[in-house]
Amino acid sequence: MSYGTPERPSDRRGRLLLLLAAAPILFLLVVPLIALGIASSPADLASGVRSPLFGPALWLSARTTLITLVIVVGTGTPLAWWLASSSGSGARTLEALVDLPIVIPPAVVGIALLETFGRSGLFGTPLSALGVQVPFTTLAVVLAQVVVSAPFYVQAAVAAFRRIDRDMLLVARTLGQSARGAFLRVAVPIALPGLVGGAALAWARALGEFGATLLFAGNLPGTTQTMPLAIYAALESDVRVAVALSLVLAAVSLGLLFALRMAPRAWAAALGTERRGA
Amino acid sequence: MSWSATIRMRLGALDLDVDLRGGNAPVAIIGPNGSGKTTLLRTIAGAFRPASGVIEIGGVRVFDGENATDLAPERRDVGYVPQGCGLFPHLTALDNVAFALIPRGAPLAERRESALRIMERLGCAHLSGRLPGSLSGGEQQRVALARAIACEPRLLLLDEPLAALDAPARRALRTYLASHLAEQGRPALVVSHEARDVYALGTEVHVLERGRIVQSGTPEAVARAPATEFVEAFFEG
Repeated sequence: MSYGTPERPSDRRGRLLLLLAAAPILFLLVVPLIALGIASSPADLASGVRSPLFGPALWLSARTTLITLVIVVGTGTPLAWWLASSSGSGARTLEALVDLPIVIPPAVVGIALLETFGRSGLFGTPLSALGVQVPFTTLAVVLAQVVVSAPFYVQAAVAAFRRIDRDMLLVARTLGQSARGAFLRVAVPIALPGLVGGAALAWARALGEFGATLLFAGNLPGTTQTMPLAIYAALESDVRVAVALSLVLAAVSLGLLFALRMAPRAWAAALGTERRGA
Repeated sequence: MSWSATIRMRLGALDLDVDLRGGNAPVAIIGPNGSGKTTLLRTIAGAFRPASGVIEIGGVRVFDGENATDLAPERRDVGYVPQGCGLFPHLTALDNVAFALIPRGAPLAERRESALRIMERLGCAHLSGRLPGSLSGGEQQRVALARAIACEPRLLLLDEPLAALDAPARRALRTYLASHLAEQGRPALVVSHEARDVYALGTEVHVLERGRIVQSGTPEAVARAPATEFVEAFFEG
């Protein structure tokens, strides 16, 4: 924290040492992205974009991640609200369960999904009786993305809802709102920056999803080959295509990160000042 | 109009057992921290369900432990101003007041017009365009009071409306509250922690300690014969 006073030389030396100790990780975080940015000439990039891999993968990624986002926000918001307003041990257990996919390796999630929806899986027999095949379809891509991205949204939404003063909701109720009205008119608008941030994180995670998708949905162009899988496929034939795909993904992700950082600040600015203490 | 609340309940470490009633004049509640003042207001507003008791507001039984009557907060006709005012940070002062008029179903423009008239009556119309985050504590209280009054409640519940204000703001708001509550002729239950506020507001004061009413009466009478150390210190300070 800065107090606006000049730094003592010894403090400055200490801070310089800290930065020096952090140099390797900073190098690893930043330099590869720069390398990616300068890896290809505009001509290379253009030829990458024209590759038959590019268009379908981009379209599939856009489509599936948007559907994923709708599912995650639509089902994750009520879940987060319930978790934020429950205090029992059941709720705490459920909250921990929701976080599981963050720590479980994506490949394991892929296998688990196969064991659930695959032909010999838990629901394999009833699903094939209905003539429904889930693995290696676009639906499988969406399911894999939902599982790995939902925790990021739910976590952020729970935190945002928990910060809301319960008295404020009681006030909304005494002013004539039903529980639902108080939620929609007061809780959601107040939590909005947190919800938007969580949704952006979840979207970024869905966009980058690779391992679970590869195992559960395969790598079929046009059906299950999303951008990350197309990069994987392109690497075997034409590195330029892989780089072009990577650049587009990186640009979208950077845009998301920027929005993520700016949105809460813009919101606070719009509300006049930082929120006062409860 | 009158109200009464007989409440018996346990909430965490608090064991609340009170029997209160009031008419058109404001009633003050005083008591040490953790004595159950805020829980009392929240329970009357409908946040908690008492184990037993009866709550009546303006002739309507909103809670009855005997026969499962337990009206939701939105059907109790109370105006609640919590500590810290509870203004919605994403709405302007005007829209905070207009929020109370949503159940009437009028279009936004009309609600805003009515809200502005209420704010004019309470002398805070000049704050209408401001967001709560940019208002001072005293200004927030005025807007919160306007919002609570907007839906014509049959009982006002004000939790420490004068806390967290500096001395001049406190003096101004004290006079303001006393005159507006008297003018409204509306039942009000006001939690307070300063003797001067109680003298200015309350025709009657109840002392709540560890969930029980330990003394009731006019501020003068209670100050003359304090029943507990807390009351003595309260009126000395």
